[in-house]
Amino acid sequence: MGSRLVKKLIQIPICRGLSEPEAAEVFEVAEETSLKKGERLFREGEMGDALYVVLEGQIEVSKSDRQGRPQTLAKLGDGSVLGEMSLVCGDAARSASAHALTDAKLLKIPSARFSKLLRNDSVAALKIVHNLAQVMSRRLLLMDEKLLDAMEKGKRREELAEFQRILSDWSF
Amino acid sequence: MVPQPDSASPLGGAKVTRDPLSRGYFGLMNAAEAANHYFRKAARIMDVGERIETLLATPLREVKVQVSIELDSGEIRTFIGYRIQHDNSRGPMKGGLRYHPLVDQEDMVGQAALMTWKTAVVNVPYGGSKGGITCDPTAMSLKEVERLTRKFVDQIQDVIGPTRDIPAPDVNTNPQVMAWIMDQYSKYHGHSPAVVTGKPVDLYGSRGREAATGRGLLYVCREVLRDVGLPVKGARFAIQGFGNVGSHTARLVHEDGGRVVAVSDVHGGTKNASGLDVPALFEHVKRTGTVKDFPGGAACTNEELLAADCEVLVPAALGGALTARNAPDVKARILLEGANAPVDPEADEVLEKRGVLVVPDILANAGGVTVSYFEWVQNLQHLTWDEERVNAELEKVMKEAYERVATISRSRKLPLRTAAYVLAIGRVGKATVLRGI
Repeated sequence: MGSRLVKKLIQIPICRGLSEPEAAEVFEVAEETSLKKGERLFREGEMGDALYVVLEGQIEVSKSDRQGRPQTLAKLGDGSVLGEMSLVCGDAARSASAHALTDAKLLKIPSARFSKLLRNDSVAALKIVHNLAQVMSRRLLLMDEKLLDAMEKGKRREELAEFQRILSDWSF
Repeated sequence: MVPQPDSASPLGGAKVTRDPLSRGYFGLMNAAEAANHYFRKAARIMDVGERIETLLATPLREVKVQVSIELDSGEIRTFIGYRIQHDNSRGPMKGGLRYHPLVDQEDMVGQAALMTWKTAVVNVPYGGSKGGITCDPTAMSLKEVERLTRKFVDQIQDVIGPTRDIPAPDVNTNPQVMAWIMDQYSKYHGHSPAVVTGKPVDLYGSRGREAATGRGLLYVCREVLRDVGLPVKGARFAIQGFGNVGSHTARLVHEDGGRVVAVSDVHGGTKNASGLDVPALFEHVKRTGTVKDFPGGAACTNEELLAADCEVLVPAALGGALTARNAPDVKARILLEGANAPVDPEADEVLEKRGVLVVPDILANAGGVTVSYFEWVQNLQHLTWDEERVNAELEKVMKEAYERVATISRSRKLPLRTAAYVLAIGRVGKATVLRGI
């Protein structure tokens, strides 16, 4: 791995606090992949065995709703991480799909690599896990707010129907 | 022949006391608070939920305008006028216009809501509104009051109208003021008699409008007495207040064979256990301006009147006449609310516990707004009804409203007041839901 790439990697959020040698250790086996605009990176439901760092370009993450229509969850740019759940959950199915909105370059890190580093008490891996936990906490906070909004919306609909029911109960 | 209260007001209407802290006006202010209390109580019994309660309580529009005029002296004075429009789900909004030094926005909001519930109880196709100008018309000339009225119309003519919001007389406004409003509004929008009600009978007013509140009270009273098994003939009535509502009620009750055993006004009262000679009393009032010192009766204070031995007590003077302090003294079986909120919420509980049947203001005194509706209908149809027709239609409306309220009261075991608010919320709620939010 070139030192220019390592220098770039330690700037991204999940690598916060990593020294250059630590980053080099983690990304030793990382593979660079590139996607053409519109090309799929992974599909919801596939087994996930790697984490990706976006080096260039834009990736859209989407998930099918109950009617099977894709709903955009996020658009990720340079320095973003995706597939991080595979890192934490081992070989779990992908919870969402990802495809390239533009030509893109990504770095792929196999989950197995992390598991091995963690088993060997790698400080670098622990730092990354800590950073990932922060990223996921922030996403969870956003989700909580979205959930509240959705609950409120659901309630408003119920409220009007409930009011109608009350009025007919009182038989006017 | 209605006795006119002696008054310094150029409008010759209800008297405004110069003392801004006068109890009379605070009584009126309490009407708004009391109505809000009773509305919330009913909404909670119906369990409509906090957000529906807020939806129903929040006014549609609050208009606050500058009303600047040149006084006769050449001095420029700037007054503040309000028009609060509470709800239009059931139709154009309807409510009085009052000129008083203590008119303020918050009070108007409560009064506008009260009109929404009142029009819903009697099922006339209106919403509720209220307005006023903060001023003391007793300190103004008639010309100044006219300029004030016309200027106010200039400022609100775009939010009122026969299909939007229709003002009516209230404290210190009378048929003459309504005539000016009609005239000024018509300059903008063409001939529009239906923009106000309570107009002079000679200018698109309705026959029977003046006695309408008293007459509506009588019609409801007949139904209540029938339900409790008492004939009107021979029943004893005590009436507090001898203005537009009290005087007509006394006259009509007397004509119906009831015994008016006590009446009072701001100056004092008169009582006669075997029944006052009401026509003679009217003559006395015409001569002296008060019921006090009527030769056909003994002197009686307002407090004595409220505690009089009678079947029906009619507080038709002030808001807040009955409180937790004097409510235990009431001996009547039935209390008919002629005024707005003459019984405060504490007194209401006392009376309920004591088994006094309270017929609430939003039902009992809704005859006024009902005949206002008839006036509007006549104006829109370019025809006039004779008084017999007005009275017959009024009787139908009041009977029907009482019947609906009494049915809810019986089936849900609720006091008439709560039942009336339940009916009102139901009607407004249904219209709101049907039209969509």
